[in-house]
Amino acid sequence: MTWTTPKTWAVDELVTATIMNTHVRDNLNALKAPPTAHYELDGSANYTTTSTSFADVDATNLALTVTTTGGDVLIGFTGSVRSSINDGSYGRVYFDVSLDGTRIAGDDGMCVELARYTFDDPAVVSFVWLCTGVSADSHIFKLQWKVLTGTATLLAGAGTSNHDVHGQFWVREVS
Amino acid sequence: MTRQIQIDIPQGVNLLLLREELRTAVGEYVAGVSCTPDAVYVVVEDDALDDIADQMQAIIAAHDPAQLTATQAAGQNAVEASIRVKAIPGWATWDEDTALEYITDNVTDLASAKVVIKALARIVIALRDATWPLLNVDV
Repeated sequence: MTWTTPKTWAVDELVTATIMNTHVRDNLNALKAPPTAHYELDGSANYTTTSTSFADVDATNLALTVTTTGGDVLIGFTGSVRSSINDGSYGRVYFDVSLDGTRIAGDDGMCVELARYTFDDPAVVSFVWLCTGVSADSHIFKLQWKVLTGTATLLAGAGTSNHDVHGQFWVREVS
Repeated sequence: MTRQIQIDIPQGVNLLLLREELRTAVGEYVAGVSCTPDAVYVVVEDDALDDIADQMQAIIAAHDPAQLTATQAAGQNAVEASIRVKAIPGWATWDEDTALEYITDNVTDLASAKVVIKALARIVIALRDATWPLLNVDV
């Protein structure tokens, strides 16, 4: 159900069923179910990368398409990452989201997490980002990541003992 | 920005090693290697040459996932350091008094002193590998 800019009512205007359905019913329905897309990590294997430049985590599944009515889109991600760095230091894993092929935050992305392998402890990556001024159109949001050094692993509910956790990537138009 | 080239690598992949091998062969156009549950990709910079996939083919075919990078080998060495110490009779479990008593009782000449010095050298090297695993690795 698409959003229609509410009409400006005039004095003595005849209220018709068509007007009410378009400007009241349909808009309430649009507010109840805004353009939304989401994907839960539940794969047969975890995701890994050694890329030192931002790359799609999964160009097929972690690529969310929504047709917006124009305005702001809220983006969220929760996941758990590990790094292969096992010299006692931490591996840095960076995340960003691309909108139609252009990274939204730019530079080193929306967030960086420190993770290490030595103690077998995954680190939580969780962020919410308000993407403003998105045009009314069909858009693709893709989760992207990179590392500073080493290999990063994003747990994907793949059955790894004690690490069988599921993340979620989602987008929703909010204005 | 980057683009991803899906590759066929049935022998399996050591992501860090393959990145190193590809960078050596075709340069910094290779940002890294990624895996999803369904496929393996080489991540290349957008300005990489169009024929970069062809250039990488022989490297990918020759890749041996059982081999380690220098950093990975150092990391494995660090993990295994405690196993090496455990293999030195006595020294893995002795307390200070026991160690001193052993030396008092057993070090009587140069040959017996060498036995102790060699054991201590093995412990020192294991400690070094565990403490500073990247000491001899260019990173």
